[in-house]
Amino acid sequence: MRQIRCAFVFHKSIFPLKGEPSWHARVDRWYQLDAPAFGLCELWSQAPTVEKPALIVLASPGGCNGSDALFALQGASSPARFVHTLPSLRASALLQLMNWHGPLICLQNDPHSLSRALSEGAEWVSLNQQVCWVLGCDADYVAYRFCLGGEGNMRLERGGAAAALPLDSEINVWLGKSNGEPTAALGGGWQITRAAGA
Amino acid sequence: MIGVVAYGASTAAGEGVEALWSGVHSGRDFSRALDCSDWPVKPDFAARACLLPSSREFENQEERLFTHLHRAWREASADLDRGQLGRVGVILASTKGFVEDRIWNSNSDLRQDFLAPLLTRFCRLAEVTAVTQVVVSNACASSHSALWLATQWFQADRVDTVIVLAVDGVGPFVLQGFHSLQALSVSSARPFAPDRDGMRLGEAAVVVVLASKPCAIGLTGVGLDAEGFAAVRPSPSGQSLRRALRALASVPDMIIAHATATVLNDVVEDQVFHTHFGLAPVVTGSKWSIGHTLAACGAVDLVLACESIIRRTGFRLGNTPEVDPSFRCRYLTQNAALDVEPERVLFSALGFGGIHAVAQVERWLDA
Repeated sequence: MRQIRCAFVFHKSIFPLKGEPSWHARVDRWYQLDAPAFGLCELWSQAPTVEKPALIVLASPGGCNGSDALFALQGASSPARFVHTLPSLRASALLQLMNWHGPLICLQNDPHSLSRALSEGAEWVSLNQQVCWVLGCDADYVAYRFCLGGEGNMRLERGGAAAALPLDSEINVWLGKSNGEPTAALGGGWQITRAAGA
Repeated sequence: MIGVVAYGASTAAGEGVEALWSGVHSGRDFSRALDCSDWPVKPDFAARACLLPSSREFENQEERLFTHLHRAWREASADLDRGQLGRVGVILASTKGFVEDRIWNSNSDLRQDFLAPLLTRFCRLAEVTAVTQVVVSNACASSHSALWLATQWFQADRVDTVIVLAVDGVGPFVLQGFHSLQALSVSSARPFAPDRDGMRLGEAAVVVVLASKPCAIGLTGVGLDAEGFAAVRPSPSGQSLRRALRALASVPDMIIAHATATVLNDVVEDQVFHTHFGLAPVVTGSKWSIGHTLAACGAVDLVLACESIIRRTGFRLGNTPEVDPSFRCRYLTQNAALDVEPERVLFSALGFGGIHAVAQVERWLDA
């Protein structure tokens, strides 16, 4: 498969939220979630899907450094803070909301964590011909979701020369400019193209 | 099947695979009291863990762990024909082992993760040119997840060789964290025992070299499943571990269980393994001896699984004289006869965030 359709959505959360989120009853101890975990849940609540992925790749730019600092600098005694020092915990609440289970892999490769996650997701979809989600949440509480392999407003293609991985910041700039270049390189020979009007 | 070409290891048992095997096989518990006098947060409990051997002082945690990782690589690569590696992929499996040097200083730059640069550093030091490289951080299932990703790379014909680096360390951050979860034993790790009360933490640096060619030992399958149940405990139904097991087609002779010696983990593993396999395989574990080495534990157990097959014997749960009477699997307890000659060994991992993983190795080519 050389061309993969991709649906991209994102959501900027208010964190911490004043009051309960709409999904509070469905996630155990929602009030203990850190910002990225909260953001992914908010994104799902804003943009739920019927189709579920066969694989989730969680991009973790910056690792869990923010949550690490919260745990350490507040005395390293809070179990609620400690659990969020692992990237896999970011998806745990989301999986409860989605009622989903399956293979999940947390990747980091700063400053190319997102581009690496996207290229790995694209490779997996190309091999397995199933839907893969690439999820993540940046330092500004913007949670994002790329649904690779279903319908979508973007497409990933391979065919060009293998290029170096772009910086995540370059991808973020490209994603934020709806009237910018239609295509951006993702590395590993993959590129992402915005559909006309997207 | 993917060939397990070579491996190297440093654990609390010592430097080298021979030290690891001898230590675990001889029934030795390598946990010891920790000197916390210069820790930024001093524990209010008796801190014990299974630390890597230190023949000298290191500048910091990163240097100490990386030195052991490099030693493990030197062991793994001693007989490697570097010209035959082909297209090389490198995966680093790690969690919080390297956090200590940075996290206690409020002036540290925390904007970028500090694991990815270690990959670059390793490739430079090992003189490896990687066609693809990435860090996998899937909690205690990180090594298994690295193996899973490696199988995807091989299936897509993206690589000829994959080097898996698995390393994690223990310091105040990790120790305090697990203590806050009440997951640590106050005495010793006694997996599957009726009076088990938690785990011991440990450190390890392991390198595994995989290739798409027949070897003495082959990796026959890796199963990975994440469930949305709870943050730090598995669903008592064991469904996620059952789903992971579906990736494996054959019954093992021996299981190296995750066996953390926490109440819940051991219940789930006994229930699932017995339901899935019955009494066919014997069950054992390694964390009672060298500690729970976090992201590296899967790689440690892969090495032990391979050595069990090569040496045609197993190893016991050295701290477990008797198993919880409610458990139904067949366990290699402290005094059990080692009458197993495994040809196929399964090793499992359960990670925070609901991640469950299994992998299996078996004899492929007779030496």
